[in-house]
Amino acid sequence: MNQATTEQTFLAHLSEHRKILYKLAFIHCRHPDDRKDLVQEMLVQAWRSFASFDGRVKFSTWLYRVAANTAISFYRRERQHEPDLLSMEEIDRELASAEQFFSEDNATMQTLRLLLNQLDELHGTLLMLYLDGVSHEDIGLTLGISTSNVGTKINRIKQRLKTALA
Amino acid sequence: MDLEQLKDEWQRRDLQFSRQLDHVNAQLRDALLARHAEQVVRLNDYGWIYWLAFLFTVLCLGTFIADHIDQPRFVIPAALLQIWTIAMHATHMFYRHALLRLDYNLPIVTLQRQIAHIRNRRLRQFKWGFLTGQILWWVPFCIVLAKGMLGIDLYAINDFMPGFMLANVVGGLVAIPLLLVAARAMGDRFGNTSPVRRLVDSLSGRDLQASQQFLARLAAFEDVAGC
Repeated sequence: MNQATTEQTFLAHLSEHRKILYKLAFIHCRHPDDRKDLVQEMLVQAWRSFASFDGRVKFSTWLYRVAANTAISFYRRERQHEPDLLSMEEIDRELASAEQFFSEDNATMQTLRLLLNQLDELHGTLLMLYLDGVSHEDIGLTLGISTSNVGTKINRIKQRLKTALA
Repeated sequence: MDLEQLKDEWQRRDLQFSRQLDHVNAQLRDALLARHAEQVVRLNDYGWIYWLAFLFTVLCLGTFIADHIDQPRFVIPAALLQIWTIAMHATHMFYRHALLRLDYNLPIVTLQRQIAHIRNRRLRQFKWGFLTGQILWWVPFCIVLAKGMLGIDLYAINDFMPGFMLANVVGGLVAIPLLLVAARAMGDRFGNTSPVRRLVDSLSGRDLQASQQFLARLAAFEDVAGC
């Protein structure tokens, strides 16, 4: 596949699934500026890693993995430092939309933030996959844990939510 | 409220967000992303500046060693500097390539474990590179710099100088454990994000400890019985 075709394929897939990046940014970052940096970094990493996408897993599963790995590394500072690559008007615009739709403007979303604050980055990622309606099997594939482990952890998160609201 | 209610709310908002994104001009997106990709490629090319500095240093030291090959008092410090420079460069390149080789398509637990191991190695390398570099490096550096750039033989300035330099090397060696103890004791006095705090955390081993704790959390996350 030549460069132009690769880019087109990548963009076509990304176009369909890029909201994953914004949601992960929302889950992992409290501050809007960090969200923009993280989305940029996830985009760069997704493009760099696209050669490894062989179609054996769904693009969404692949993107969850790449983006969540980037998000977790983002906060652990273990990454090749990228300067502010460019002012991406589109990222700004789409992040503004994400802020609008995922803001803590009601009790349910406030509860979600309360729950997220209690979870580490691994459980936070698992929670987002669950909220997105990803199957337990695909969550396991994305995270690298067994399907039964996924079920166990979701039950524990449910318990934690109950305790937090008690 | 339970997790299913959170899920319903999340998915309702997700649907609205999807509709909003569909309105984005696709051509603008393509152009921006293509430009983005080009810039990433260009960024990867900046490594040549680092390589140029490294080669220049190695070449200067090599020339100095060749010019003073019959004078061990200059060859030894220059060789020490040369070994230190090459060793630091090699570990830096190893670390850099290890990060670039990472496959972000791996399952999260697998990749994060690889990253944590790389981080542990880098933290150890930085700590000992810094300690040996900053404390032990400057005496040989001054000897070589004075002779190579100014033609001054520091050993021969006066009778006191050789003893003074030896005392500095010994003092540097003694200072290493003292600095480690001080870093452990003083870490909390700096802000969480200050560069000084980061340096102190690296020297005291706090960073390494945090990285090992993360590895333990990864292991627990993989374990069904883990938290």
